[in-house]
Amino acid sequence: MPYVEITDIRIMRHNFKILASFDRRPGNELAGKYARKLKFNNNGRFEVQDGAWGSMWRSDADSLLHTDNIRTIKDMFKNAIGYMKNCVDSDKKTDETRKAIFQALRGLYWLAYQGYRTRGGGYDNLIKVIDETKKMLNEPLLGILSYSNNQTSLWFSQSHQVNCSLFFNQGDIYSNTQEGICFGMSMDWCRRDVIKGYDSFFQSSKDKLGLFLEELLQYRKAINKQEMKKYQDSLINDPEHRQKFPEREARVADRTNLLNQRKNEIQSHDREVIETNLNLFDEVNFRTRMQKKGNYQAIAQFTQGDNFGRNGPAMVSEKIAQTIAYPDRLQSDIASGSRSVQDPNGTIRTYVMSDDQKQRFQKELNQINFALNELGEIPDSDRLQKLQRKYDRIVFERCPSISLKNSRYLSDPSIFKKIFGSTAQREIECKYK
Amino acid sequence: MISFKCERDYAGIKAGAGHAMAIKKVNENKYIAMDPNFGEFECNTIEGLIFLYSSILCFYSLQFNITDLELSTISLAPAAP
Repeated sequence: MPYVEITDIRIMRHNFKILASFDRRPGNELAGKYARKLKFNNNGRFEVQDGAWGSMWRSDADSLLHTDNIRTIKDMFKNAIGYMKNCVDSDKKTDETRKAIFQALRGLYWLAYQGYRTRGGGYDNLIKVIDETKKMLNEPLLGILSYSNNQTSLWFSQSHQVNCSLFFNQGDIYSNTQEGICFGMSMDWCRRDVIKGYDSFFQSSKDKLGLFLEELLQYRKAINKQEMKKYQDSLINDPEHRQKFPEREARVADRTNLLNQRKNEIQSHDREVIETNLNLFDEVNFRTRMQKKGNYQAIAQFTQGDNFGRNGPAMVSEKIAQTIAYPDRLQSDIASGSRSVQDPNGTIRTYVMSDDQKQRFQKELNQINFALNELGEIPDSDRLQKLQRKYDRIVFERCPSISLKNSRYLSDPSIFKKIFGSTAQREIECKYK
Repeated sequence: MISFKCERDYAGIKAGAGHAMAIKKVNENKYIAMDPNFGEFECNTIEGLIFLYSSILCFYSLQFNITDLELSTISLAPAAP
């Protein structure tokens, strides 16, 4: 079909429903002669055609991969997102329309993959359109999370006040982010709260401003002393001036007073500058401190290997204790190409590693070595034990899992609210009662 | 703590991944959330907290196929006897 620019939101809603109907349909119902087909009409309304009848009189121009059809779809999503961004009408049906966009994209993605991935170049163009649309859908979500471009009310019929109190990301803390670091950071954040009562990474036991000011004052004092000595030396070593020493002495005293006055001015100026830029100063301090703290979080990531996907309580420190002994054993296993494991009966069996297994274990070893390098900052020889003690006082316990039932790729926030909301609320209320 | 896992096949997505985030309830009117990729957030109500996490999970669902969602708690270990 020739390109049609669809600007009517009612037609868009209809088309989104059609696209969403393709989601999760079996592959044999989407590809081939008897499969369900998406039909484009001149008026912009999409249709579905099932079975052999839908394949009759169908030309390349009717294909989803045809350039004009891809453009029609691309602009329809673009217009719909533009409508969501700008429209303030009472019949906007904010939540419904937003959800329809997500579900339509999900259906389109499924249809494209199951029905068209083997059809050549046009498929890449379609995927590119889907990726671009995903980026556009990211924007309002990032607006909520970064507070930089908050358009919450245009995207959600009921919005809530969310305040980003401290912005950072993994990249600020680790130059080389590794898998599982998010788990380590979350664990460390909770540990600090449980043990020290800190509810932010920003909080620290050190008086940051006091320490910094003290350091600055010492520096200024040294500079002033140096200047005074230089001035006094020049007076004492000069014979002419020595004769006029009493007079000069008075002038030195004046000069000293002046310098002291200047010193005080500098100090108060420094304090003023620091206090004015306290947020900035704290920010810099926070980033530096967090980079040093990375070592604790780096090791905590290895607790995730055993914890993810398993039920029951697990002591974090026990996991760290296992990690201490792990790298040497793993290294020798990889080198020998075989691995010994204990079966449920207690018998030790040795098996030869496949290339895939070697690769997987090597990746695991690299991650542990990365964490150990991070730990290198701690001067103690028993640094892992020291780290283990930090986690000795906390217990990690899994709550009942939240069932997602289906995969949740390209899901609208309302889906998560529904499946996650009630369980999370109950667990949080129950835990903190 | 909230963690999710994404691994099952969905239209060609096969790469496994996971993510973890943290929550704290300070009192009835203050909840703190932490996502390692976005920072720390404050919400006044639990509905706000759920709205925040729904948005975060939606953001990740645009990149990954989320298949498992789990809540876990971190608490003080019982004192040694």
